[in-house]
Amino acid sequence: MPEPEKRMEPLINLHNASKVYKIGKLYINALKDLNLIIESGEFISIIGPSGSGKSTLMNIIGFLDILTEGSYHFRSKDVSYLEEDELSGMRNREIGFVFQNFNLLSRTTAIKNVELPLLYAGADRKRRQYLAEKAIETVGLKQRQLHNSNELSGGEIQRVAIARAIVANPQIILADEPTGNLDSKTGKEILETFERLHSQGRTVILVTHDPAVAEKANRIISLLDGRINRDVRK
Amino acid sequence: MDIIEMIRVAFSSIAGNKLRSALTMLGVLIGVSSVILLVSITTGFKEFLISQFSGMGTNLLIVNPGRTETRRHGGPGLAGVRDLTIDDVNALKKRATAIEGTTPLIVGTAEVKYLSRARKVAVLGVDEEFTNVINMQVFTGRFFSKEDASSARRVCTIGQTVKDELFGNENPLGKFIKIGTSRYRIIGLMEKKGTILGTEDLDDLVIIPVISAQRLFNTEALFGIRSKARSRFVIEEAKRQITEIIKKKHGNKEDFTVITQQAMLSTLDSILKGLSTTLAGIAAISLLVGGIGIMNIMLVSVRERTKEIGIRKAVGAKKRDILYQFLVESIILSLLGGITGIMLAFVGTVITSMLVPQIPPLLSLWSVLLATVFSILVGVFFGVYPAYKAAQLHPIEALRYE
Repeated sequence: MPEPEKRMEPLINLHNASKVYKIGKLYINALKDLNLIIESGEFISIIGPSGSGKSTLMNIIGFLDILTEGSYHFRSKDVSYLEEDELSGMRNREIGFVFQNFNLLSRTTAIKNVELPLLYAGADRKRRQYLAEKAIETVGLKQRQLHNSNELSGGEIQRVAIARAIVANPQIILADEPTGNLDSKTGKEILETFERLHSQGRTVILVTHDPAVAEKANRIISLLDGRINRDVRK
Repeated sequence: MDIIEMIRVAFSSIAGNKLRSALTMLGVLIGVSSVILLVSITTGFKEFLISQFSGMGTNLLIVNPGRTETRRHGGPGLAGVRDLTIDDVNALKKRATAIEGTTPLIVGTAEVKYLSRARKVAVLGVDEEFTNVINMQVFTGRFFSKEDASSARRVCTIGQTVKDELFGNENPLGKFIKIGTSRYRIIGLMEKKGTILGTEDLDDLVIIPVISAQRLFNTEALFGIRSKARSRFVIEEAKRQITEIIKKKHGNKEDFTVITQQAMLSTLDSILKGLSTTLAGIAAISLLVGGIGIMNIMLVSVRERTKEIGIRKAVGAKKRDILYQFLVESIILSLLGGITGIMLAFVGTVITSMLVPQIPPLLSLWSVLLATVFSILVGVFFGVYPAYKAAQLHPIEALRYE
């Protein structure tokens, strides 16, 4: 029976995951014995009030940080305690980040921003340019690709960021409050872009505190005090 | 990561802070240009001194009475020193095979008069081989012959300055001048030699046969003997022969000193080498200060671009990618400073050679190469720590930095 076997190998498998931060003399349990399985191709919202552990969970899933305890298996591979440079490689290959405050390089053209992940993947100049142009076309910004990031509007900047997230064709798009700094119309367009990426087979994970945004996803995970409070599939 | 892309990023970052980058480069620029300029000036000075010395004639050997190194043989003072004589000169001429010319030398000053004009000048007493040994030639007329010299004829040659002062535009050849109390006929005008080391005027002198000079100054003793070796390969042999021959005549006592021109040059060379090393060392300190400036600015740059480092790391930059990026930037900063420094030094040498045309500085290739390599090294050395700091930043903290 091949079907259940496939389900045995989830994309992301967090088991008893804990993360403790030390701030001064204070220890903060950002994640507490959290168990989470995410399959390939899901469209997930992670929701919760500030301090609930959303950002920490996103950092762990996105290989920006490592667990204090527990395990993280990615495609069955234990990635719980990788070295910093190995984590960089994982981010580069598997994750496309979209941040709330855009995080584009200033004094750099849109196309050069989109090329960035390919640069660290070791792609040559021609390939970088080809793939970056393709990605920027996907988000509908081809005519603006040679503008510096400070010459673009908020919605355009976020679309450049999405182009950068998909350029290396990663399995996961990880978006942290992607519409937080945008007006509602632009925000809606951006969310539609994520829906389109999901329909193309990508795993999309949205971190948000906005229930209206979270509603777009097929599965909503609510966090509270570092634990999963509710896990709803539609 | 692609090196061309790193260089492109470095240039755009340098261009993004033009004034700051320019001021940072200024430190290296001043260091590099002062090192090159000082080395060029001392090299030029050395060439100048060497040409002045060789202007006296090449392969020259100088015999002076007395031992300069030790007085062991002579007892107190120079009491036991025997004078150098015409006899010694003749012995050298007859027996020293490594020598192609020898002249006795007497030096003194005397009043020289022509009509009502008088001038106190240096008087050299030499023989007919003088123009062969010392690099001074007759401009018009002739030098005295062997007969003139040995029979103590009252003939002389004069330098350009003496001619100008006593004769003006008049032709001095065949005229009589009074040297001391005797009348001499001018048979030659020496070519213009200029000054040596800016002091002695080689044109302000009168040359007479050595025997005449002995009478004029009332002395048998020579001021010294000058010889010329057959080639530069036999200079040491010539020195050995001279020493042996004169020693024999002086009762086996070495109460004189033979100096080769080469020995003088090599002493000069080592003094100047020391001088130029010291000056370059002092200038190198300013290069060090320039390097510290680079380090300072790179640390500021790393702090300012923390967010950028965070973004780069988030999309997959490894530690060494960040390290190399900042290292390339500091090397380019330093190298740009170095290259402009070299250009400034070049302009400096041109200006110096216009201001002091007698002693033009020599821009040597090795000092340019050394300065280039040094400014790259400064970039690496002072860029490593800031670049290392940048590479160590944690991506989350770097991203959060505002």
